Amino acid sequence: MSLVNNILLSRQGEVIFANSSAYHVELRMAGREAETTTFLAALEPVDTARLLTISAPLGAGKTFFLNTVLGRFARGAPAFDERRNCQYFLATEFNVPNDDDDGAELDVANITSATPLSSLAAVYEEAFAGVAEPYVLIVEELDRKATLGQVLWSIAGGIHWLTLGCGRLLVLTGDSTIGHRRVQQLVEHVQTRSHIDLEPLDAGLLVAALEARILDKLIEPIASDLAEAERLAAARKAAELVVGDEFVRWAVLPKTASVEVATFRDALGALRQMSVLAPALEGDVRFDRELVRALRQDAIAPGGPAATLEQALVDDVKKRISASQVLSPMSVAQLADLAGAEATPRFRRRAVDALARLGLLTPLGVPFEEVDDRGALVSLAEPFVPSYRLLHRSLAEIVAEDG
Amino acid sequence: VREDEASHESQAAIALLAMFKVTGGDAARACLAILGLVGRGELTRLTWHRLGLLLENLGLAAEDVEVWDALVSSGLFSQSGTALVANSWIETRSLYDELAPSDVVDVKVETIANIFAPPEVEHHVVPATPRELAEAGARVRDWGMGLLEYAMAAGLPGFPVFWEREDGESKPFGTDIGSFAASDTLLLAVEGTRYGLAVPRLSQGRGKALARAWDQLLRCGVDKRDDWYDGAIALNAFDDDFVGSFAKEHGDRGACPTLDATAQRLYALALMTTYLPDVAPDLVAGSIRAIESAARCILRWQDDSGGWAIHRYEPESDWKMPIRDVSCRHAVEALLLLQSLGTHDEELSVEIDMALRRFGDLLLESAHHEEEQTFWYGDFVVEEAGPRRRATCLCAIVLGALAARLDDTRLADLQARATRHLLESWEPSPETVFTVEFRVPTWDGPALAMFTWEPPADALVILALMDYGYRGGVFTDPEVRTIYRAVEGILDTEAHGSWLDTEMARQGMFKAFPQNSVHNLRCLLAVLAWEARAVPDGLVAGALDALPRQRRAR
Repeated sequence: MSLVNNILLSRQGEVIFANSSAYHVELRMAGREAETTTFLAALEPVDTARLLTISAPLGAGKTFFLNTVLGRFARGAPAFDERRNCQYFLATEFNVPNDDDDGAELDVANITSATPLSSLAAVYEEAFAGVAEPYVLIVEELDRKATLGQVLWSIAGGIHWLTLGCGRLLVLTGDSTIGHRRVQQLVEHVQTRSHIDLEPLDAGLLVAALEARILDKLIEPIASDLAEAERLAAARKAAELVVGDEFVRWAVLPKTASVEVATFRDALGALRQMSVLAPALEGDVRFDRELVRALRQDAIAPGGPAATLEQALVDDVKKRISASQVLSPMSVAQLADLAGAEATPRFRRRAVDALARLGLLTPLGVPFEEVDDRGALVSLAEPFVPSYRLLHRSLAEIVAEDG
Repeated sequence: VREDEASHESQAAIALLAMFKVTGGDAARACLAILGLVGRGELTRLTWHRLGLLLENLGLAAEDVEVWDALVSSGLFSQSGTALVANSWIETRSLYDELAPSDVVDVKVETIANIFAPPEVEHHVVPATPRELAEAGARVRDWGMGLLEYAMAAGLPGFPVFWEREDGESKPFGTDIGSFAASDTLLLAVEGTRYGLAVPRLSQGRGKALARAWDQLLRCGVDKRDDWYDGAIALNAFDDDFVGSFAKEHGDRGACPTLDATAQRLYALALMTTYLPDVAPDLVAGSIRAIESAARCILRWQDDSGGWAIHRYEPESDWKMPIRDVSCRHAVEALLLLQSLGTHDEELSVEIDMALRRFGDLLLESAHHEEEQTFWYGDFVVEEAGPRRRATCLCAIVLGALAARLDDTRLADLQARATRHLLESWEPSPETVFTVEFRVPTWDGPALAMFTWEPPADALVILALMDYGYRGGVFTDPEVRTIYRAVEGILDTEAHGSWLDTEMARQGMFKAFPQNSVHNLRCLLAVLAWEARAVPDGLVAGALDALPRQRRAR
C-alpha cells in the first residue's frame, strides 16, 4: 500500500487543496528571492523619497508577497510597527477631484501645479499622524476595478506626499494598469524607484506547494517515524502524480502562448473539485483525465452574440487541447472571426465584454489605453485568452464525448 | 395610478415593473442591485465602466446595454454626458428603504409582486423567549458533549478546530488539533453552568469523556516554575488555531504559545474546578495550581502599556509583539473570572487587581470620545471603522465587570458610552464578522505570513450590550427590537447545536466551528440572563408588547 493514495487525498481534499483565505494552510513563500531583495532594499530607511511599483495578475499572490516581505523586514526592525508605519489605501475607494473618471484634467507632466494634490497628500499624511518615520504608503487596486481617474489621482497624490518629508516610501500595486503610459509618466517624477513584476504560478511552484502540504497534512501524522528523506520523497512523488495527467495539468496550469495566466486560487480550486471524484484506490496517487468531469460547466452566456462566441470558443479550445496546442491571446477581430461575426463595437460590447464579465475570457491588455465608440475608456482591453472556466468546460466536454 | 396621486412607493413600483418588462431576469436583478446602491447613497453617478464592474461584482449574467437602457427608462436616472446621474439619491433612498429587500442580489421576481401586495407583516421581530434560549443552549451543550465522546472513542490527542457535520453527526475536519479548541470544545459542554444551565446527570460514558477532556486541557500547560513560559499553554503539535506557530525545526519546544489560548485555558479550568469538580475530583488540586500558574503567566506577559499582545517574548529578546484588543479581552476576561471565583491566594489576587488597574488606565487613556459615545481604535492604533468597532466591542464586553472589580465609576461611564457607539448604525446580520488580522508568534519571531480570524460580530456585540443591560443599563424600544432581530438571526443560523464558520461557508466549505459556537452560546445565555434577571417586568415586556404578534416559523 502506498503512503499517499487517492483515499487520503480525497478525504483531505479540502485541506490539501485549500485555496481559501477562510481556512489557512501554512504556506512558505517559494522562490521570489530577487523580488524580495528589491522590496527589502526599498524598505531600508534612507533620506530620499522612494517609489516601488508591483504589478501582477489578479490571484498571483501580491497580498501574500507584500505581507511576507513586510513581516521579514519588521523582524529585523523592532521599532517598525507595521500597523502604524504602513498605511494602506485602495484606489477604488478614491473620490477623484474632477467630475469625469478619466483623469483628463490631470497634467501628468506637471503635477506640482495641480491644486487638489496637496489635499490628497494631506489625506495620506493624516494617516501617519503621531507616528515616527519611516512611512510606507501602500496604494492598492491600481487595476481595472478602478477608474483611470482614480488610478491617476491616487498616484499623483502619493507622489506629492513623497515631497512632504524624509523617510518615505510609496508602494503602488496593481495589474497591467501600472504599465499605462500616463501612469508611467507619473512614476517618472520620482527619481529613486524600482519595479517588481510578480510572475504568475508555474508548475514548479505548484508542485512545491502541494509537496509541502502533503508532507505536513498527510504524511507527518501517519509516518513520522520514517526517515525524513523517505517522507520527502513520498510527498514529492505524490505531488507530481497529482498533476501528472495531461488533462489534469491543463485544468490547473493552462498552456498559453507568450503569457502565463495560472493562479493559485484557480489551480487549487480545480484540484479540490477533482479530488472529490478521485477513485478510492490504495496504490499510488492516480489523478487521471476522468476527474475533469468534476469541472463540468454549463453554457452561461444569456443568448445572442455572447452565446455564439462562447460556443465558438469552446469548440476552438477543444480542438487545441486535442491537438496539444497552446491557447493564444486573441484580439477582438480574431474573436469576431471565430464567432463568424463582424468586429463591430456592438459585437465587442455584447459578446466580448459580456464574456469577460462572465469570467469566460481574461483580458490581458493594459486597461484605459483605448476609447470605445461611446467615448468611454476601455477597461477590458484586448487581447483576451479563454479563462479557467471556459477551459474547464472544454476539458469536461472532451472527456464526456470520449467516454 | 394617476401621476398626480402617485406616491413614492407607486413611482418606484412602476419604475421597477418597467425594468422587468424591458429586461427580465438577471438584468432586472442588476437594476435592483444598482437601485440598492443608490438608496444607500453609495452611488450617485454611473458610467459605462462602473456599470460593467458592478455587473461583474454582482456575478450576474446581465448585458450592460440592457441594464443601461432599463435604468434610463426607469426615470430614476438622467443621462448627463457619458454618465447616468441619480435624480435624487436622497429621494431614492426613501423609496429603497420602503421597497427594496435588504439583500438585493438575491432578490426574486416575487419581490415585485410584493410591492403591489406587500405581506401583512414585514420585517417583524420575533422576541426570543427564555425557553427558546435555554433550549438552544442545551442543544449546544449536547453537541459539545457529543464531541467529547467522539474524541474519547477515537482516541484523538486533542480537538480539531473544525468539524464536518452531516446528518447531525460530527467528524473532525483534518487531522490537526488546536490550542484554542482544547478549551472551546470543553466550554461548549460546560459554559452554560455559569448561567444556571445544568449539565444533566452524566452517564458513565459522558462523565469519562468530560473528565478526559479536562485532563487533556490540564496536561497541555507548561509546568516549569520560574520559567518565562510557566503556566502558558503548551501544544506539542501543529496548532491549527494559530497556523505557523509550530515549526518542525523547533519541534521539541512544541507550538509557540499564545496569550489568548493560555487565558482561555485558565477560563475553562476555572469553570471545571468551580462548577463541576465532581466530574474528576482528582484533577481539582492540579487544576488550581495550573490556574494560578496561568494567571501569573498572564501577569508576566502584560505589556508595559497595560495591554496584552498575543505573545510576549522573553525580556532579553529583540522581538516585540504589539498589544491587541482580542488578546486584551481574553486576558482580562480570564482574570476577572478568577477574581470573581475567589479560589486563589490573596497575594495573587492583589497582583491581578494591579494588572487590571493598569489595563483600566490604558482604556481611560486611549479612549476617544465623540458627544455621547466612546470608542477605541483597533488594537488601540488602527483608526479604520471595522477594527475600531471590533476593539470597542471587545473592550465593552469586559468594561462592566472591570469597573465593578476596580470600583471605578469612570470605567462604568465608559461602558455606557461604548454601548452607545455599538448601537449606533448597528445593522444586525448573522453573517457579519469582525476581521482580525495578526501575525502568529513563532520561535523565530513574529510569523512572516498574516493570519486572519473572523469571529461573529453580532454575538459579540450582543454580549457587550447584555452586560450593560444586566448591570442596569437601559435600551430604547427600537434598540430592543434591533437586539432581538440579531438574536433571531443567530437562532436561525444554528445547525443542530452548532454554528458554521462564516467565511468558510461563504466559500462553499460548511464546517461547524466550536469557537463561533462558543461566541453564539455565550451571547444567547447572556440574553437569557438579561431577560431573566436584569429586566424582569419592565422594559423588555413593554417593548415586546409593542412588537407584532405574528411569529415567523423558524
